[in-house]
Amino acid sequence: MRIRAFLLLICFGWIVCGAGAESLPIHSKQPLQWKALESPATLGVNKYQKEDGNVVMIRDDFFVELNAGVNISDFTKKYGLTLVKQYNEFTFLLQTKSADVVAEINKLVMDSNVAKAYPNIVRRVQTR
Amino acid sequence: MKHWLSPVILSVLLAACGSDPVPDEPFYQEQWALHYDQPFYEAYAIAPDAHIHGESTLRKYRGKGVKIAVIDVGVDSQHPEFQSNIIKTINSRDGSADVACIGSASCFHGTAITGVIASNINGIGLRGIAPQADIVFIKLDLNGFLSDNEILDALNYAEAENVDVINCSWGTGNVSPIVQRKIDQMATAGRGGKGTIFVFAIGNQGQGLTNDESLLDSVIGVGSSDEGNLRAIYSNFGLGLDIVAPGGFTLGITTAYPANTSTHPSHYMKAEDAQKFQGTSSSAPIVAAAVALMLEADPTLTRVDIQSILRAHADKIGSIAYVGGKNDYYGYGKLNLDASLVRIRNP
Repeated sequence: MRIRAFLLLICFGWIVCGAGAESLPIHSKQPLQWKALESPATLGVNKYQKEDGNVVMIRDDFFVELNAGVNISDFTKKYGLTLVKQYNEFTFLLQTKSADVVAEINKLVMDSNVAKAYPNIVRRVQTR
Repeated sequence: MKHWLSPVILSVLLAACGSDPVPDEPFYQEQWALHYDQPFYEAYAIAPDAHIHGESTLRKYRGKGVKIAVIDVGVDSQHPEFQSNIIKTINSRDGSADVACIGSASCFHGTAITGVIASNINGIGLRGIAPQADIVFIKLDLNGFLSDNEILDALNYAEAENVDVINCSWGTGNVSPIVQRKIDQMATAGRGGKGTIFVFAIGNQGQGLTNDESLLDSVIGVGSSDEGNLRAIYSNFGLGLDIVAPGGFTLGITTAYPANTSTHPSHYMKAEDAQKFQGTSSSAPIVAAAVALMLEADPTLTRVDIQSILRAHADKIGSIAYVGGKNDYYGYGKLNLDASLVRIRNP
């Protein structure tokens, strides 16, 4: 009984201190703007959501910024993406309907800074 | 005798100074936002300093050699006031030259903005602030929903045309990070490294904003003042607002109106019309055109120079304290065109 309680205490301590200490630095390395695609669920087909008080629509395409040295052809081929438009040397409008692919790209952002992804949001635009 | 001599003496003095007189445009007297006209000001009880102090500058500068992009819903490019200076039209949806706007209640918007900036000196209507500027009109389908890539497309067309100034009398209240990145990049690297000057209207809900294109550091955010020389009650506000310019309240800003309409058969929207051009949409092109005159006077000015000069020479109107030279409701104050140009000519 004492051994079981001791093991439980060790496990609890590892979860609170060890695992937490491991994950925090990784998370804190992400610049704030990358939060735009923090959840794969933000990418859907014509999905409406509230953002900053505005009703916005998320399209099933998104922007990807590639870091220097990444080949866009290889990248789109690897993830099965469709290249819609190139805006500049490193910014592309890519399209997918797969939430899994978006999650994969998010992982790249977090792990190796290969790419940043932003959803292509439909915003309310008004003349003033 | 005295009344007869005064205009003559004035003309001689102006000629001696190398200035051109402001031409005899029929609606010039009611362009209250630009200059003081005693009969008009008294007839409508306008505060004497409600204008932008533009008389001296308008005599000397016309925006020659400066390229301005107007990104808006559409324009009547055949309007008699635009015959000499719309050099290109681009539909940002397909790259075609078709920028007509038909059917929407807001179709007048792009024509009205272009009229404030660039109405020709032709003796038939009004005086544009920068009548010899080159206008690139880029049609963007506003008044609804647009995806970020559609906004980017419009900005990319402006960049490809190497414009000096971009007027945006619209906004999202919810800036896309990728659009912000593009604006920052053009405002830094455009014009051969001197920076493209973006002018955005802040909006007309009378509310404080925290996230809007007009509030970006790299943008000149413009609010409205009224005939009482105070902030117009509808003008939004917030940290990042740079400047205010006349937008009217009981009066509007006299400008061009699309042809072939029953409401404005004369092709003009006059200050006192029932349907008038009001709001921060009308204030922004006043500032954009003022920037064009500044660039004509000194094309080497950077975007940062322009912002600094506008801020330093703005009139501190209103009763709200300016802390560190600014506040959230007026920014750095109301545009003073002549003072800004004096600074450029006498650095």
